[in-house]
Amino acid sequence: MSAEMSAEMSAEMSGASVVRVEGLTVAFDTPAGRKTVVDGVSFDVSPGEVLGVLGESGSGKTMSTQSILGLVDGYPGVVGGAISLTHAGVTHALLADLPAHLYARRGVTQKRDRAWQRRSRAVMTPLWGQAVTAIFQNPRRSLDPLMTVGEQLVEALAAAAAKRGARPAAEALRAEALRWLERVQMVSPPRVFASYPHELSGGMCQRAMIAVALACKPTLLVADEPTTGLDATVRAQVVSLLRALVREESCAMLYISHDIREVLFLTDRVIVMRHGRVIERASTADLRAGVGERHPYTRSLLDASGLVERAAPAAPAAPAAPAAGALLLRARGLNKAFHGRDGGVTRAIDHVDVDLYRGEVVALIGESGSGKTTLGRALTRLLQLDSGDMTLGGEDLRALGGAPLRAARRGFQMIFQNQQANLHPSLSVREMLDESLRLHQPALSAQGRRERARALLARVGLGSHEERYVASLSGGEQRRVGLARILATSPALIVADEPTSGLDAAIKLQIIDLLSEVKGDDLTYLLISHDLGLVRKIATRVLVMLRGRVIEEMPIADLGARPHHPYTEKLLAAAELGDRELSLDAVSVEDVEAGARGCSYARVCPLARAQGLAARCAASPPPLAPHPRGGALACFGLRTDA
Amino acid sequence: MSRPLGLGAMSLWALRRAARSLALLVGASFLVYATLRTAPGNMVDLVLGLNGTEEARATLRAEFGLDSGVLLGYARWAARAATGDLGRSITFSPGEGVAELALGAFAVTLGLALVSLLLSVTFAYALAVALGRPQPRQGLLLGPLSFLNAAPSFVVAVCLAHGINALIHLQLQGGGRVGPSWYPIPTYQSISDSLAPFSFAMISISLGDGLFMDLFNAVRAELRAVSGAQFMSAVRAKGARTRPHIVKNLVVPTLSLFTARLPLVLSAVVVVEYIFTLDGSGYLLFEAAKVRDVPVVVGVSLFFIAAVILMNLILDLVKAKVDPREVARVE
Amino acid sequence: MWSSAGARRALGAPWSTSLTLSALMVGAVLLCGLVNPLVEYDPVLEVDLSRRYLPPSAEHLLGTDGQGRSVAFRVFKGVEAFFFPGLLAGLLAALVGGALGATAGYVGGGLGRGIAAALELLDTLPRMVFLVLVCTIYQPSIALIAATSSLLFVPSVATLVRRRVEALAAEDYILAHVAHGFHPLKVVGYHLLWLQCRALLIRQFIFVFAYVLFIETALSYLGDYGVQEPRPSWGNMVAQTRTSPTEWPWLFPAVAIILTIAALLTLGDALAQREEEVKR
Ligand SMILES: Nc1ncnc2c1ncn2[C@@H]1O[C@H](COP(=O)(O)OP(=O)(O)O)[C@@H](O)[C@H]1O
Ligand code: SF4
Ligand SMILES: [Mg+2]
Repeated sequence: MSAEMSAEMSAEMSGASVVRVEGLTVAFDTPAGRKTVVDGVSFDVSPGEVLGVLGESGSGKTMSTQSILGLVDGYPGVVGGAISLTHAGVTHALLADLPAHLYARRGVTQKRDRAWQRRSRAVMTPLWGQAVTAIFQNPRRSLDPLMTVGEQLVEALAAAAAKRGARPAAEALRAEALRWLERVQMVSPPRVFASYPHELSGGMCQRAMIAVALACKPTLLVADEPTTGLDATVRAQVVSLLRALVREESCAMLYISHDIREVLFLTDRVIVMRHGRVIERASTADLRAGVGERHPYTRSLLDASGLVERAAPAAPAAPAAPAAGALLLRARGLNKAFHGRDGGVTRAIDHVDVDLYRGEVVALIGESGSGKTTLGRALTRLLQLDSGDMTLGGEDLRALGGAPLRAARRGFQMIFQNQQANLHPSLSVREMLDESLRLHQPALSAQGRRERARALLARVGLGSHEERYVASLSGGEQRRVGLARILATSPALIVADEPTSGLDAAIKLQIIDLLSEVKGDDLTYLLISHDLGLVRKIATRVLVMLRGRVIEEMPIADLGARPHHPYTEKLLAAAELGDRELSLDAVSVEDVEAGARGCSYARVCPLARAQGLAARCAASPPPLAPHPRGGALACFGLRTDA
Repeated sequence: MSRPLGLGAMSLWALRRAARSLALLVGASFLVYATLRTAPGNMVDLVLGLNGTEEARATLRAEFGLDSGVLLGYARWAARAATGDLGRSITFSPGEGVAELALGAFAVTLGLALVSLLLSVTFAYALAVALGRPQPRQGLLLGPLSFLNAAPSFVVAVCLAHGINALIHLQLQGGGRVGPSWYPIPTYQSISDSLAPFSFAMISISLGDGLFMDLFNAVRAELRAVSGAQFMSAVRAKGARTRPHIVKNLVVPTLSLFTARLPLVLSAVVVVEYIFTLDGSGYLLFEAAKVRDVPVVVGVSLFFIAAVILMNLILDLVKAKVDPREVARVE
Repeated sequence: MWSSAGARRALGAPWSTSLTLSALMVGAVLLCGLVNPLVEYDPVLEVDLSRRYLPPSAEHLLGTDGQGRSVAFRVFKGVEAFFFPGLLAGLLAALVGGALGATAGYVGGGLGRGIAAALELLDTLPRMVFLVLVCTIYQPSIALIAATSSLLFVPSVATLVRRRVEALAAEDYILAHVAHGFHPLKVVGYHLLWLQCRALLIRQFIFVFAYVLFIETALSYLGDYGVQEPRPSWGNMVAQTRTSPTEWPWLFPAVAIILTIAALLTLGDALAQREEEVKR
């Protein structure tokens, strides 16, 4: 392995690389002591090559890259190593001859910050835009909110031209900017040109950022988790676009991500980082093909991605078919519309029927904005429905109110989407559990509550966390505490809204495992998620939502095994980024017309186009009809040929 | 997503915003009027005393709509006020129109308030830029500064008046007195003419009531927020200059600071003017209040209310012009 | 006026010294205020023209004023003028503001908008000017001044609370408490107001207290609206500069005003900040 590595390194070094990093070490001084986030990392990128850096989120990747590139104020805490950038035949050493005092002293001093800033600005200013440029996570925050997208694109083009000594006319700049907007697949470039960032969706902002970055004609593009927070299909679009454009422009790219599927999809070579060290170097082709020995961590990432599973001949048996318990929750004709300030109406839930049986795990999938959260909240009586009927265990849920409702609540609990889940920031774990137990098991004595709280914590795999506050718990621990609190009520139904969002792949798995572990036979889950990998692991049945309507329902075994609603197909394709080539016109819900009278998908549906159904689909919504192979489907195009 | 806001949406918003200001003005003036009407005893007696002439009584009753119910009375009074007729002064400067009296005085007050505010903001920016990011040792400067800055402006003004006089006195060596030898005798005449009172008032306002430190902290936080914003990294990354972006993004927060502080600064001005005997509405207010000249006091109050509401309106419109998001963010 | 939580964070080490000093100062004022009603003081009996303007000495710590009264004793007795009115006004503003703000923020809808509009309206009244107006129309008294001050502060307290509650109520964890089965009143009163707005309310309480001190002194300096001679108040003691500008006893109450207000604000900020940080 080490021989292989050194061979690789020397091969890299012989070529003229765009960026070369050698033995880089970055450490931050925190009140708790020195924290090394990057520990002797070396890599380089050749011209036009795409290198993936794969690592856990929150491990300081963003901070280190940005400060080393001089993009943020302040000292990055570099304590050693060398970085050289080569642009137009000239090599610039970023960290060479740093004054010794920059390294030596502990603690942040103003003098050191300023010295670093002066220096890094002096070195980097001529390089920004031309030699290296960057795109970031949070695309909405990457654009100046007070300038139109067009102005910002023109600014980039003008800056790039100025560095080449040219001064193009305003008209020429505008024309080129529009061309770029077209290249990043804006539906209406002139409109986007004149729009402010807040008028665009996250995906559009990121595509605009890609245009801005590549319009500079950089030698190297640093992309720092550019898809975080984007929906699966939007992400697929951004990633496909990035791959195509970077190749067209033959620009080298450093792609930093925690998502192995994206990295496999986009890159030529991958380094995997853990605890600040490089633990794996491999070519993407090898990783995909499963060639060679892998570090256990890489292995676990590959496993978690679901890619390897699919490659294996026999997938582990999907969870057994629902043991068809008694009907627990029955909802009919649920409707909920939100009225916007500007008079617009969002039909967040539109004629939805749901049946949940005891012991089931029903996954609710769909992109953000499709109404999953709203449906989850409606089922747990957290928002006022416009119409519809709900019964839980035979009891009319909608008729309940006041004290009876509060008493009934212990039967159905909800795990919230938010990172900090259900937890109050200024109560300790013990106080929180105590409060719940006092409410739901008033018979217990103080001592009894204490014991019960300990037992609950043990059940979710937490030991001595009683005196901790939310802020000092990790994301995974927060979920566990939240679950413990919910279990304190011994519910029959748990609606879990994206219970793993914002967690790292490994932690995600743990949480999902925990959920199945505490489930037992009687507990029923409605699991809201857009992560199909996780859904496959635990769900017994799947509901797909689009624009407030349930458009497909199937047993888990059928997922990917029979013809699906065209929109479900799209979701599946987007989720399995690495497996199939995606067509570049990936459409997301944000592009689908709101408030359509017929099928929400009609405007972009390839099936409708192919079968000449467009008029019919647009006229009235297809009903959710049973599918001959099980489940149900709402599509005019598929019903006929099934 | 949403359509770009055309001029139509923008001017519609401006109209709505203006209507809200008008509603506020009506509401606030009604509060003032209602306060008047709830005065214990007869308001006419209160204002004119028991020996006012029958004619003067009738005028006052008409001016304040005292013969009708509160609502109708308010309508009459407000209708007159809307035409610029705020009644006549009774005791302070008998017979003079309140509107003229208050307008002249208010110009001084508003000028003083705006100049002080502008000056404070400017210095706050200067200090914030000079000091850079917060550092432990800056506490040695900022700690005492914020402590002293907590002093009420009128105390600062009194101290300042005495301090200045002390300096002048040391030169003049005034004569006989009692008390400890280190305490100099101030002579108010020496500072009351010339530009000095205005400047001293300005300084007192800036240094009192925590104004400067508040602005400094706010400005520093804004500066850090804007220059540390993610899009600044993006601007750098594309090789463009950051300064225009920083400046543009500071406009709205700075204007908001202005809006937030103006009423407080006006309050401070009222007091400080009086101390330095500047002919502003503060002086007018207190002198009129001393002789219970209710029409004048009410007139001055209305000017303050109208000024704050109008200023907020103007600043909001400017903000909406600079920041398109403002339009969407109406509360 | 006076809001500077930001600086405290930036101040670092030297701050703890001023924090200690502030706590001592506020403690002293508190003690004076509480002891005050127990101490007899007849300002007329105190007059002794044979000892006018004596310099500070062991007998008269801060010297004597133009009527031979002990300045130190008058500074001590002057606390009474603002102490209880300040406490009451602060309490009233915090309670009423907190309740209105929480209702508007949590209930929202038409009621919330109505409360918000009423608060905005009340907030357009210029505080100082309106106080003078009220004093002109009604019989001026410290009780009236304190009551009006607290009324004038209700909008700012309530708006702060409303913003906070509104923001928090939209957060999942508050909804989670409802989903968990807690009574809405418990969620608003305990989880939102007590746990999350406590620091804010304490700070506003201190702030209103400081404002009453300020307004009492200012108004008795300017217009004889506060406590009247011969009873002492820090404001009317400073006001002596108007009638006898050549004398110095005004300096001590002036310093007392500055120190007390600065100490109050420092302490308020520090308490609020500690509240926020304790959970980290
Ligand atoms: N409180 C609300 N007010 C207005 N619109 C809302 C509200 N909650 C959700 N919506 C809208 O309803 C739609 C569905 O939202 P949501 O249920 O959160 O979807 P998901 O959970 O699938 O992302 C979205 O268009 C969203 O903007
Ligand atoms: S109903 Fe029509 S538009 Fe909708 S998915 Fe089926 S074929 Fe496409
Ligand atoms: Mg959701």
